[in-house]
Amino acid sequence: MVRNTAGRRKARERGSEVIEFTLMLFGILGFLFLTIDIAWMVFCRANLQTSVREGARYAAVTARDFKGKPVENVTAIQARVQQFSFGFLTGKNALITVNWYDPKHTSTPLTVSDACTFNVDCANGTGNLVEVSVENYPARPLLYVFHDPKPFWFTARSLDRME
Amino acid sequence: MSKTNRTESGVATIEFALTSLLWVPLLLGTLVYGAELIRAMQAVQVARDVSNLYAGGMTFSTSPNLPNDATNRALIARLGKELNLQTSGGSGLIILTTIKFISQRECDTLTSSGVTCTNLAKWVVAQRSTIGDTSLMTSSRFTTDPMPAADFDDGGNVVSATITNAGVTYTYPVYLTDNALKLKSTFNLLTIATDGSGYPLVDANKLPVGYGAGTSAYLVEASFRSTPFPPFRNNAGIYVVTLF
Repeated sequence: MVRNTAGRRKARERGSEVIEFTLMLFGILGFLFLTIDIAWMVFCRANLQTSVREGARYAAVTARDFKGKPVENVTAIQARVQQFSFGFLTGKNALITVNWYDPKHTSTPLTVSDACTFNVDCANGTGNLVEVSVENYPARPLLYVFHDPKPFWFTARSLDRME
Repeated sequence: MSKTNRTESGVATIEFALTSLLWVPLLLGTLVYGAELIRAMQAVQVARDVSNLYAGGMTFSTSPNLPNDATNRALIARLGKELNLQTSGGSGLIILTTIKFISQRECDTLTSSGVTCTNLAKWVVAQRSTIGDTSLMTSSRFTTDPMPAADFDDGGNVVSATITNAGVTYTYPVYLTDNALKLKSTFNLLTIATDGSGYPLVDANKLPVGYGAGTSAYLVEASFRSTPFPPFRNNAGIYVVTLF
């Protein structure tokens, strides 16, 4: 008699573990994805920072390779930033901004034009400041369960002096 | 309900609650430290860039006579915009200090002046500027603040004093004599090589060995406020020091 009651209970509870596991799985995966996404965002932000830093440093030390050609220099700096971005900035040239400043007049950036003489009136002349930035990069979580969430907007900026 | 089922009733809830004690703080800690890590990286970047520009000769004073300094400050504020660094106020503070080591060579300018070179063999402040919220850190970790305002001009440079002795006029920067401009003894980021007479040690070509005493070094301290999140993070902020 006891065996029969136990047997009926077992039959009634059959499959409940699968349901419990499925319910728990949502929670566990949710937390797992959240942890991975936090790490992903930190990685993304660190990459953007490294990229602009590398771009600014590249700009500071290679201007002589682009004597009188600041426009070409901008393209090369953008390519350098992209190269160091682990693919985050591939095809996103429009987000990468390069500005040069006269250190005695830092209120407005210098005009970038190829009609100039290096170290006389070129924006990328020695002693000027260069600012490389990635503006409003939309960083999206790597893993999301229900819908495409709104992105986090990251901005990274670096300044250096032209050598 | 059987006896076994009754005795196990609620066990799952208790187990869940017990495991929650571990993973809920773990998850919250991951969130808090993740956000803090991003801010720390930004703070290091800002401090390093500012130091580089400061060492390159840019000035950041609040002097109305130096209008470009205001735009320089605005440039730095934009650099730290994501950390809410502002030219005054905001959530960040950058303390820029030019420091010098006073060797016997600097003190020789006071020979026969009757003035004692009290800061011989000491690190001193030669210039000071701040950007941001000065209430965030009322004192630099390396100087005794507040330093006498009379020791600085409006550009933040240490002023000079003049004395006449035996018909000869001596002009010297007050950091040679003012004890208040001395760095704390805890400053140990640079070691100085001097010869037995207190002069900078030089090599066979008369070039200084290591840091040349009397020349400027640029010390930048950056401090940023963090949002408190007890018990993981209380009121501790981010603090970065760079030396160029």
